[in-house]
Amino acid sequence: MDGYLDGELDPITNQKIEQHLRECPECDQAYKAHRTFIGAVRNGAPYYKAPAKLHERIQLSLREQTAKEPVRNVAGDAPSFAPSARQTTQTAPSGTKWSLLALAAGIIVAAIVALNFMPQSRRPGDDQFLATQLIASHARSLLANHLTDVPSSDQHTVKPWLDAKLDFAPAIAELSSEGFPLIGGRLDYLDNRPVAALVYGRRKHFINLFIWPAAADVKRTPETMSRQGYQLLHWADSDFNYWAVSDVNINDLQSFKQKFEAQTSRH
Amino acid sequence: MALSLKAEHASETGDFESDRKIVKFVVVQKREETQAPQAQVISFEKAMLPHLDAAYNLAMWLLRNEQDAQDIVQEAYLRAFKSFGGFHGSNGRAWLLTIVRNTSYTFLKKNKAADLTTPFDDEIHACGYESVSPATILEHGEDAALISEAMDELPAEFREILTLRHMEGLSYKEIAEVAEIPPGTVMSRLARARGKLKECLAARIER
Repeated sequence: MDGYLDGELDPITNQKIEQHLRECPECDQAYKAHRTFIGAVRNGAPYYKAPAKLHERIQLSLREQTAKEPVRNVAGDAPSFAPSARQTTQTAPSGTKWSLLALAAGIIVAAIVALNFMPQSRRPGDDQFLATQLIASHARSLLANHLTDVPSSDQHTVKPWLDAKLDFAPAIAELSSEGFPLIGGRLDYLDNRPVAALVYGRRKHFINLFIWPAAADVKRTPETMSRQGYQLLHWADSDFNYWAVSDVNINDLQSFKQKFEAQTSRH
Repeated sequence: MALSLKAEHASETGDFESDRKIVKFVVVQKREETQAPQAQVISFEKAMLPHLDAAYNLAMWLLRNEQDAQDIVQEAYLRAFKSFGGFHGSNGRAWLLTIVRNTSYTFLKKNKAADLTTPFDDEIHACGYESVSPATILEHGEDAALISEAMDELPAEFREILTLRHMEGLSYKEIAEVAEIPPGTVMSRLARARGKLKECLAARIER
């Protein structure tokens, strides 16, 4: 009956059913009822239109993608319908005038876009400057009443609030059972860009975990620093930079990092 | 574009006479090969962004969560972009929806295994059959909230096929491709999905 309703039957079967419906009032009634139902549901079911910012998000991520892999491969052997997850990139032939120009133009445009969203490549002097900024942000947050912008221990409150204000969405770990309760979230500004600050407690101390998107060339080996009585711990994954700043001892920070990574890497 | 290819090959081999034939051949066979990265993005966007609403709608019906749907659609578009070079068909929307669908199911398997069920588990999801007259259906049947709730009680595959048919108007053949089922299964699964929806809707109207 559904095939007939949808007009998807072959002409012979179609004809047979049509004939039957003319002869059999019960079936005809059942058919009409079914058709009414389908019509009502079709009209009534909500159609979800994409929010405007999704359009922009996608355009941005496509441009970031081409900044990472400037020349897309020619997938001559791509499987029929399902996309392949893994791609190899070919590099454009170098030393030739035209393709080099085109590539350079593309990379320049992509780089301008990318520079707006990724931190600059690091040099040792930059790291020291960044450390100064981090400590300043941490210390400032501990002064008069500006520890959090969204004071909630519920990651499902903090995360959407941060996601709405920033152009990235870091995962938040729930660690109160491990001795690191979430105090809340805050916006901050570091390394020339807005960043997320997650505030965790540790006994009577606070840890500021600063998170922002990682550039492709950022160092991935964890590093520690100790300055002015504060401990700083840095690590990065494929998406984000993490800097944990606190006056708790470095072992506690390492433990925090481990537990944070353990939870968020599950996603 | 032909100009850039010609210059490229000329400087490689230094033979200007025979290269003309090679250039023509290359232009026909591998249209994407030397396209600048920004042009690649733009041609992809032109072909695929018009289907954004369809993609988002399908993701919403499968995942039932705005944030997840947005994330999945973004990921699907990235994947589509990466394999765009291999897409030579004419039905961009169906191709994209297949990717959205696969990305969604991967996510569902990882995060919400309870939501997935084989189509043969209808009995477990019984809504309680109530028979309802066509008039009542008409009266309440277009209630978006009721339909949405009733759809929520269906397994993901049923929501998928109802969305593809009712909202995107895909043919049985297209549905078979997107949902990756044999063409013969489309009609029977659609019939079962509609039947189940009618049950769940009727059960809600009666309340």
